[in-house]
Parts: sequence; C-alpha cells; structure tokens
Amino acid sequence: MKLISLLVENFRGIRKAELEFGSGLNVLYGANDLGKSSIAAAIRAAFLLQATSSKGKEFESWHGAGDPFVKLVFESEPQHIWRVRKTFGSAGHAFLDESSDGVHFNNVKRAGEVDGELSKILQWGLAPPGGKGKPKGMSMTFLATALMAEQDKVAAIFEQSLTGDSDESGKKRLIKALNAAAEDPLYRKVLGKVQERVDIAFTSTGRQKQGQNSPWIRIREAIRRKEEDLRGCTELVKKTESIEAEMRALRADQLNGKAAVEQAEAILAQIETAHRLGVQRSEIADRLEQRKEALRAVEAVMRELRQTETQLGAALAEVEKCAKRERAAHQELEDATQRAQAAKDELARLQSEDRARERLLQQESAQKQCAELRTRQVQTEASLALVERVRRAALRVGELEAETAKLEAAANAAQAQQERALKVLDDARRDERTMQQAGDWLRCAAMRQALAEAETGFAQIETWRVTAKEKRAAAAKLEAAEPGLDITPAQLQALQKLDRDLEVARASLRVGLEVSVRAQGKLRVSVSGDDGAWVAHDLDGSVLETAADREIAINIDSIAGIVVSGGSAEVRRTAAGLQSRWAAEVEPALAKAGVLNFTGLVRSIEEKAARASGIKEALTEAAQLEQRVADQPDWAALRLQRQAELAAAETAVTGLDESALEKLVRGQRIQSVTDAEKRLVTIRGDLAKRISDERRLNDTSARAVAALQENTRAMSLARAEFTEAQSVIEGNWESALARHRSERDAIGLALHAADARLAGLGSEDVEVSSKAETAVATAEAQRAQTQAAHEKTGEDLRKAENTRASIEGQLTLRKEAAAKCDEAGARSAAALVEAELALVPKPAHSVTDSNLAEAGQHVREARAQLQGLADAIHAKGGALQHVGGDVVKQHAADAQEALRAEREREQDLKNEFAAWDLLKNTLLEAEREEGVHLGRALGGPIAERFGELTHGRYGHLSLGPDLDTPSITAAGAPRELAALSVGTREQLSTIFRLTLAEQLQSTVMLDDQLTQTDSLRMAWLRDLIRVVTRQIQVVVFTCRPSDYVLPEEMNSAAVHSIDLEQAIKRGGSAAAAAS
Amino acid sequence: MKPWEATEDVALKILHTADWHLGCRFRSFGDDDRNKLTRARLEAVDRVFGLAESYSVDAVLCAGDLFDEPAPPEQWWRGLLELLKRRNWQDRPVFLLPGNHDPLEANSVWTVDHPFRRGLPPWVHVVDRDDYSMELQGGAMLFAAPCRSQAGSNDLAMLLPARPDGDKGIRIGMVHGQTFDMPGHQTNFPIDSEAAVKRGLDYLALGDTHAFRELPPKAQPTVYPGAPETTKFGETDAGFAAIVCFSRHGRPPVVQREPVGKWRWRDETCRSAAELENLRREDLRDCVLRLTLEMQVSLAEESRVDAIIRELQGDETAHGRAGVLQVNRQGVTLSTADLGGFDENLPDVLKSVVGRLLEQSELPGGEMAKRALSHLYRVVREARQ
Repeated sequence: MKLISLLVENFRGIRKAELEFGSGLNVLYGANDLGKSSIAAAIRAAFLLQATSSKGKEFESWHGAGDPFVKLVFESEPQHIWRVRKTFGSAGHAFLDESSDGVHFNNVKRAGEVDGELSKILQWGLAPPGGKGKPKGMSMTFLATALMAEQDKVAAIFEQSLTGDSDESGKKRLIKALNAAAEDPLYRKVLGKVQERVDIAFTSTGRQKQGQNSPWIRIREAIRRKEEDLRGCTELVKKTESIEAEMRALRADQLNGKAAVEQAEAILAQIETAHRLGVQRSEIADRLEQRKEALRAVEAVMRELRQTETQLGAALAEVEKCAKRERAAHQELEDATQRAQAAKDELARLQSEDRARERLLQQESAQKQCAELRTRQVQTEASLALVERVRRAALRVGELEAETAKLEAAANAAQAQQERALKVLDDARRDERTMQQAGDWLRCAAMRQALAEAETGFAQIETWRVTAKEKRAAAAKLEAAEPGLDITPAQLQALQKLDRDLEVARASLRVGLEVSVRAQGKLRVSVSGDDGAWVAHDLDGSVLETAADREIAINIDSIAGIVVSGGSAEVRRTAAGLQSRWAAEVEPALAKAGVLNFTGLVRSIEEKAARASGIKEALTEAAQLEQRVADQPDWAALRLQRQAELAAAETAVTGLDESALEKLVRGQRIQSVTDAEKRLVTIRGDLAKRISDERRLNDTSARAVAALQENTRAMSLARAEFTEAQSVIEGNWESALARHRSERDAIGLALHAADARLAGLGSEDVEVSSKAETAVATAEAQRAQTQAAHEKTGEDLRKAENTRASIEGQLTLRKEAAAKCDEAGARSAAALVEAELALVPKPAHSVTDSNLAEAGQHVREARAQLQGLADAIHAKGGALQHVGGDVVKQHAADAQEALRAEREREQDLKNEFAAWDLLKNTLLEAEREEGVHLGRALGGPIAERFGELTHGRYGHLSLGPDLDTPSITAAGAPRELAALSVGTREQLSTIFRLTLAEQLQSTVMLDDQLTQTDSLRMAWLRDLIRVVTRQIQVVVFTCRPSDYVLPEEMNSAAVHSIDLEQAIKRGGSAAAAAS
Repeated sequence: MKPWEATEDVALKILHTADWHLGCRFRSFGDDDRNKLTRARLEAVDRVFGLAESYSVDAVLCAGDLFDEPAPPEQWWRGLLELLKRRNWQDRPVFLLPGNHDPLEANSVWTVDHPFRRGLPPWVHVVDRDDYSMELQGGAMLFAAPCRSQAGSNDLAMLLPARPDGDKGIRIGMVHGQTFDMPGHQTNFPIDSEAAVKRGLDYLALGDTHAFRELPPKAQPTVYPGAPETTKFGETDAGFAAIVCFSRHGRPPVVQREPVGKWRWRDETCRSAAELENLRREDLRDCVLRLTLEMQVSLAEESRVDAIIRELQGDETAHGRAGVLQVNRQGVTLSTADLGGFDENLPDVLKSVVGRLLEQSELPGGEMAKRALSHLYRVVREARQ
C-alpha cells in the first residue's frame, strides 16, 4: 500500500492542505505547530475513524469553519486505487471511491459501509464498525500502531500485540506476509514444490481439478475413450462369438447331418444291394427256370421220341396184326367164297342124290366143331378177363406213379420252401434278439450317461449351494463385524468442515501464553497446557515459568485454580461451541469408526463402502448361485431315479458282451434307444411275417407229404394187384390182351359159322334145299360179310399202315428234333445257372420297392436337411462378415489391454497425487504444530538491524508468537525493553516498524519518531530508510528534515520532500501566528 | 554361392511380404509411442522395398493386412503412396492384396476412386477381383483372390484355378487367411494346408499370421512371411520378408527368410537395482521395452531407479535410452528401515514430516506414506541442488 494524495480541510488549525506523495521516502517537514501532527491525524482518521464518530470533534476547525474534511487517495495494490472522503462531525458522511488509473473514480461505498470496506482493504486487524463489542472511535490496532503510530507514542508498538486486535485480519495478513520469513528456506522450497505438484491435481479446497488440463479429466477422458472403444469392440466380439457359437452348433449339426446322410445312404446302399441281389437272383432264377424248362422240353422231346418209337413199334405190330387179319380175312373171304361156292355146289348136290349122306357127315362134323369152339370161347373169355384185370392194374399203377411223382415234387418244393422260411425266420429271430440287446445296451448307456449328467448336475448344484451358503455366511460375518458407521458423504463433508472450522478457531486462539508463578514458600503447583495433561511442580521459593499456545490452567495446591485463556472471548466461545459440536458430532463418529482422526475416518468410510460393496457383491453372487440352483432340475431326485433306471437297465444287459454290442451299435450306426426300438419294431414286423410264412409253408409241406404218403400206399396196393394179375398171364399183358381179343373174336366168328353150318345140316331137304339156298344166301352173305370184313381189315391195314407211316413221319420229326436237342448241354446249362445262382448271396432281408423308395426318400430328406444346414452356415458366415470376426477379437483384446493399462495409470495417478497431497498436508501439519511464530520470523531481521545499529551491543531480540512481550538480550541476559534508553527504544521501535512495513509492503508513517537519536545513529537509520524505501513508501513528519534528507537530496527525485509551510493553509489567528 | 545367386538357374525371383498393419493403433501406448511404433511400420515397409531392390526381384507380392483397417487415416496411406512413388519399378510389379483387416469393401482404400488407389504408380496392382491372374516374368502366372470382409469361412486358396493338364509353367497363388492348423481358422478365411498341392501351385503366398512360417511340402511350399515389424509383446518370429527363387529346371523353389524388422519387443523383469543398472547399459534404442520392477528399495535406491527410468524414458528435452518404454512399478516397495541419513541434516519441521510419514507408513495402508516419503526425498534433493 502507498499513499498518493491528501486533501485536508477545516481540520483543527488547518484550513486546507493539499499534498501529493511520492513512492519512496516522503519527508514532510515544517516547524512545530505547523500542523504536521494534524496531517498525520487526518491520514489516520481517514483510515481508522468513522465520519460520524464523536471522536471527530477533536478535529473540529479551530477557526469555526466547516466540518473537518479529509480526502485521501491511496493504492492498496497495483491498479487498485481508492479515494476516501470523510467529513467528520455529527452529520458526518463518508465516501469510498475506486479507480484503476487514479483519475476516474467510481463510488463503491458510502456512509457507514466505508469503514467496513476499508477494514477489508487494509487488513489491519480492525473489525468493521457497528458490530457488537466492536471498538468505538479510532481503534489503533497492532498494525495501525506499527504503520501509523502517533508522535507521542514512540514505543507504543512494544506495548501492543496482535491479540489486542478487534479481528483476525491483521494477524492473518502478518502470518501471510511473514510466513515465508517464518519458514525454513528449505522447508519453503520443499513446500512450494510439493504445492506445485498438488496444484496440478487439486484445487485450493482439496477437490480434484476439473479443468481442461486436469490430469484427472485427462485420464478419465482417456479411460472413457478406451471404455467406449472396448464397449464397441466387446459388442462386436459378443456378436461374433454368438455367431461363431451358432456356426459351431450348425457345423456340429452339419456333421450329424452328414452322418445321417451317410447312414441313410448306407442303408439305401444296403437296401439297393439287397434289392439288386434280389433282382439278380430273380433274373438268374428266371434264367434257371428257362434252362430247366428247356431241359424239360428236351426231356419231353426225348420222351416223345421214345414214345413215338414205342408207338411205331405198336403201329408196326398193329400193321402186322392188320395184315394178318387182312390175310385171315382174305383167307376167310376165299373160304367164304369157297363156302359160298360150296353152298352153291351143295345146293346143287342137294339137288343131287348124295346129298343126304353128306349132310349127316357134315352135321356130325359141325356139331363137333361147335363144341370145340364153345370150349375154346369159354377159355378165351376167361383168359381175356385175367388179362383185362392186369391191364386195369397196370393202368392204375401208372396213374398212381404219375401222381406220386407230382406229389413228391410238390412235397420237395414245399419242404424246400419251408426250410428257406425257417432259415429266414432264424435270421429274423437273431436280428430281433440282437436289436433287443442293442436297445438294452443303448438304454443302459443312456442311463449311465443320464446318471453321469445327474451326478454332474447334482455335484454342480451342491457346489453352487455350498458356495452360495459360504458367500452368505461370509457376507453375514462381514455385516456382523461391520461397525455401525453410517455416515453419508454430505455428513462427512459437514464433519470435515466442522473439523476445519474448529482447527481455524483453535489457531485463532493461539496467542501464546506465558505465566510465571513465584512461590513465596513451599508450594505445589500443577499446570495443564494445551494438551490437557497435568504436570505437578514443587516450588520452594522458586519461579515456575510455563507457556502454552492457547490456555494454561494452574492449580496451586488446594488454594486456587487459575485458568489463563488466549484470544478474545468471542473467539473462545466460537471455539468452545465448535469444540462441543466436535465432541458431539465428530468424536462419536471417530469413536464409532474406531479411528483417531479424519484420515482414518475417511479411510474407514471408504473401507466400509468397499466392504459394503463386497457384501453386496457376495450376496448378489449368492443370490445368483441360488437362482441357478433353483433354475436347475431336482438333480438329487433325478439322480436316484437315474440310479434305479440304470440298475434296471443293467439287469437287462447282464451277461452280455457289451463291447460286442457297442461295436454292433457303432457298426449299424444305431443312434439312440428310440432308433433301436424303431428298428426292433421293423424287425418284429418282419419276424411276424416270416413266422406266418413259415407256418403256411409248413402246412403246405405237411399236406403234400400226407398226400404223397397216401398215394404211395395206393401205389403199393396197385403194384401188388398188378403183380398178382401179371403172374397168371404169360408175357406182357398188352400182347396177351390183343391176342386173347383176336382169339375171342375169331372163335366167335367160327362158332357162329359152325352153329350156322350145324343148323343148316339138320333141316329138311326142302328145307335143306331152302336152307342150302339159305346157306348159299348165307354163304353169299357171309362171303359178302367176309368180303366186307376183308375190306374192313384191308381198310384197317391201310389205316394201320397210315398210322405207321404217320408215326414213322412223327418219329422222323422227333428224331430230327431230338437230334437238335442237347440234353447234356441243357442239363449243364441249367447246372451252370444254378451254380451262378448259388454264387449270388441271398439278401439278409427281402426288399420291396416300397422299402427302396422309402430309403431313397430318407436319403433325399437327409440331404435336404444337410443343404438347409449348409445354407444356414452360409447365412451365418454372411452375418459374421458383417460383424467382423477375428479382426474385432484382436481389436477387443488390444482395447482391453489398453483400458487395463489406462486404469493402472489412473490408479497410479491417484496414488501419486494422494501421496503428494499427503506430503503437503503433513508438511503443513508439521509446520502448524511446530508453531507459527511471528516473533521468530520478525525477530531475526530486526535484531540483525538493531545489532548493526548498536554495534552488537544487544543480542537476540525475543518477540512472542504474536509479536508481543518483546525482550532483548543484553549482557548475557534477557532484558525488558523498558530498561533501554528512550532513544534506543525509539530507534528499536523505528527499526521494528520499518521492518514490519517492509514485510507488509505497506506505507509506514514516522511522525517525529527519532527525536532522541544521536546524529551517528540517525545517519545509520537514514541509510536504513533509504534501503527500505526502495521497496515501500515511508512518510516522515519532522521538524528536522536534515535528519532524513541530506542537503544534496533536498530537491532530488530520490526523496519527495514537502515543505508543509507551503502545503498547509492555516486559518484565523493560527495562520496569523504562524506567519 | 547361395541358391538364389545362381542366376542362370533362376527363372523368377519374387519378394513375398504381408501384414504391414499400417496405421495400427497400438492402443496400450501413449500418443508419442503410438506414433513412433506406427511410423516404424512404414519404415519397415521401406526396408522391405529396399530388400526387393537389393535382390533385384522380379515382383513384390504383398499378401494382405497392409493397413490395419479398410480406411486408415490419410497419414498412413499417404506415407505408403510416397514410398511407392519414390521407386520407379517399371519392370518390377507390386501386387497389393486386401486382407481381413483391410478388406476390399466400399469406402476402403482399394476402391478405384480413393485417392490412394488413384495415386498408385501403374506398376502397382491391386488384387480387386476374385479371379485375379497376372503373368509374371518368364511366363510365370500369379493367381490371387482378395478378402472382401473382415471374416469369412470360404477357402480362398481353393478358389484359385487348378493347374491344367500339361501345364509346366510356374504357378503362384496369393491369398490371405489361416491354415487349418490355426485356432479359430473356421471363420477367418480358412485355408487348406494342402491347397498348394491340390491346386497345383509351385508356391502359395499367404498373409495373416505375424510369424514366419513355411508349410510342407518343400516342392510346393506354403509360406507366411509374417509381419515386417513385431506388433505386440510375445509375438515371435516376426520381422521378416521372404525372397523366393523359382528354378528353370523344375526344382523346388528356394525360400529365403530375410530380416527387415528393426524393433525388438522385450518383456523384462528386474528384481534388483543392480539388474536395472545392467539393463540400462544395453543398447535399447530400437527396443520396445515392457519393464516390470519387482524389488524392495531404499530411498536412495528408489531415487536411482527413478533416475534410470527417466533416463530410459526420456522427456521433452532428451530422447530416452529405450525406444519405447512401458514400466510397471507396482512391484516396487520402499524400505524405510534405512533412510541413509536423509533426515539428519533436515530442519526440524522437515524432520517432523519424516517422522510423521514413517509413523504412518507402519500403519495398515502405509504405502501411501512411503510414497509421500519418497516424494519428499526427491523434492529435498531437488531443492538442495
């Protein structure tokens, strides 16, 4: 601060004075009673006295002019220029104007507000006026005294201290100004550097900086960017993984689909093979049948040839017979012709004499012939009957033989069919058994797997359940162990504020107390200082000196209790109030938290929050696990059920070769129990059909065998009958039959002829004659008949000849046909085809076209399904292309790593700055607790200067913490200042004030201060003032300007000298007196 | 004499490279280091081109992932363009293949109206067709197919045309993807490891994996040249390009692995200040060093450790001794048992500070106090200098 100008009107003896101040040394000189002190008083009044104060009466114009008026312009700091205008008196008024250039002012305060604002600007420890307990009139605070001391109070500064100020502003300003001086240089440097680091990250209120250059903002922004990047990548990775999982599932399905296609194709191939074999066998069987048919045809041709040969033989025989008969008939015709001739001759003879005799002879001969013929006829009929019986028996045997052959063939065929059916049935039964076992094994395997799943599931939910229980137990334990500390951030902030307020209040009470107790005799004195601990001292005429910052309590035996407290009552009350609030609010919180200070409390709250988060997390995890358990099926029950099912299933496979069954299942690609059951149903359906077929064929075979046996029996009987009949005839029955029939016919004819001859012989002559005529007629008729017979036999002979020729023709054809036939070749061909048929294996199952179509349909369906999967995979591939695949995974991994690194950096930054902050706080705390000792800060430079002045006569200057109770070392012991000479005291006071003003960078006013100083020391002080005024403004009021200004300086720029005689216009008698 | 130096036997000589990843973001690194590492990849490409010149190869095959993304910042494609324009390889065609990181898609650098594509010299060819083929020196044929997306399950190698009967010429295939033996190949353009044999190729030039790999058979090799510079820690066998010589007499091609990478990526753990001192003595200028400190140090040692780290890391005024440095100091613990006389000459107030911090360091969570003590030690040293 420095003064710029002053205008004083009607102020005591001054009518008007107008002064301009320089920046360094201002020497205002003039004779006594000129008004120097009034000018100084006007300056003090402008700063310190309310315009309406009754004290203003002291300034009333001596010559009855207007109210006293002062206008002071000063600069509090560069470009902050203030103008105070005060008119003192009961109707006084005041204005405070502000300017940045010293030319243009704006009014900022007026009337009573002016002094309050001035208090703030000056910070001299002067409370704003008007408040309760605030000083009235011109209050000379410690700094006001130091800077503006009145002329007659040279050593007043030594009688005052900061504790007497009406507010803390003076002390605070001094602390601020002297702090650097109070601190060790190294400490100051260290603190400065540490503060620089802290300031990078924290505001002055300890909050994290939020500006653009804040490291927190930068790291958070970096983390935010990384998180955003990672979120984006993670989103894509999730999509990618989801699609990949779907693709994996689809690929697995595709593999299954391929297997299904392969299986369907294999089944189709088997069925096609079976079908092909069936078709092949059928074709071969057809060809075999054709070969057999051809063989049969050849055999038929050969048989027919043989038959034709037989027939030819018979025809030849027939021709022979016919020829014989024709010859016989011819003979008979000749005989009949002869007989007719004979009859004619007879007739002619009868008509002669010899006829009678002849007739008798003839009668006898005819009778004899008839008898012979009748005997032969009976014999022939009997033979013919025998032969006829043989013929019938032979025919019966032939019929039965043919029938037997047929029945045998049928029985054999039926038996062969039955055998085949039986084999097929056995196969089907074996298949059924195998499939049943495979199904049982698969069921067992499925049961084992299901049990394993159930075991796994059971173990899993048990694990989850146990884990959940442990987590709940842990959470409960943590909750139980949790101290009942329930402080919200706002409460914590309030508590911290309270703590800070209390700390400030306590600091305000630190005034530095020192008590001396001098015992008159034996006395026990207990002393308690700021720390509250009592210390007993036994005094025996000695002096107990004790000191404390804020409060000292002294108990003198049981005589008295004395409490000495520092600071103003109001501040103490404030501190006490805050202390009670602290005790009521903070202490319980600290006690509750079990900590000693706020750092611990904050840590406790953070730890509690962390534990609460841990508990919450554990409970959430437990709930999630329990939910998982709840979402799971009842694995315990399922496990028991699976065990029972497995036991049942294992019973079914007991004793079976499970490895063989497994091989079978794999070999036949049986997918599941259902698959096995389906196949079993198919096999059983087939088996039922086979059983039905076999039964039907069995019946057929049995019937064929029975018919055969019946036929065989009949054939045996017929053969016996034939043998028996055959035994009584000679030769074969066929020739015998022909012979006997011919013989019978011949005998019949001969008998008839003999009868007729006999009958002719016995008649009368006339009659004989007529008879002879009749005989002639008969003979003629017989001849005609014989001729007819001859013709007939001739005809028969021709027919027989024709038949023979026909048969011979047939035989020729047959022979030709037989010549063309190769029976051995046909037989061999049939054998070859049969062998070929044997080479083609019989299919395991018969396959129908429907089976084939069904298998083909399965293949098509499986392929369609596979194609569908391929399409789905292709679609998913497209989706994956869109999302990004492996590239986004790489990006996500990078982003994850980057975020991790960034978070590490953030944590490191937090730790780093927390450490810096801790260091700063520890530095300040240590510094605070080591004590803000203004006396120590100021005492050094003052003592140094005073030592120079006094050539080391005096030693250490002791000043109290609040610049109070000064003493100085002299002759090896501390001395009170009162012991110094007046001159020395005023010199010390001047040095004190100059040094203080230097520290405050403020104007100091020396109002005729060094009146008792010798010229030598004055010269030294003048030099000191020169040094000081390089930095601050010094305003000297003196009646001896030569003490301060050398003659050569009088009109130089180095010193601003003002001749008050020129500057002050005095009024009335006073002016006259002066003149 | 090396096989590829018998020039009378060499029918064709090519350089095969891939996976440049220009514009790679190196997310875990700070801005300066990131730029340094990304620039290093461009420099590696320049060395690859230099190698092509020194071997006088007949063609340069670049098998995909040349950029880290389809549309990288201009700085990177412009840089590559400048490298290419600096050459005048009229008789040495360069083939650029889009990979899964920089697929041939709309708005990519490969589109015909992109300034990069427009700016390419005429002897630089972009594989932008699925049935791409080009005749090389001496009638050899190059067949290639580009990636058109970042993921795919089709085998691009098996899409290349098969060798016709009676064709005795040199046939080279070039695609980008992962052979069946690699995890996750199913969705990352899987390539049948026997594709070269199945398609009748004399050489199958691949890109994707960052390590140099040569797959059998020798007569028809399938080769990944790897990235020309390592891309991350733990990546081995990166930093190469392949020089491939094809014989006039039908002998198997000779594949020579040539180093082009400059940067070494090292993961080091120091368990004592002495180990750190030894590491400091090494030449780490071209090294990306991930340094993990796991040690207990005194105040003086910690100060020395800090000094070494600063020396390795560098600052605004001087480059660090390490090319790129990442330090994990979480394993460093400060031992306060011996302060080395640090507190002896301190003023009382600072002594008090030391005492308070030591006291706090004994409490649970006292690491912060140790750290503060360490700060104090350094600041006092600085203040005294």
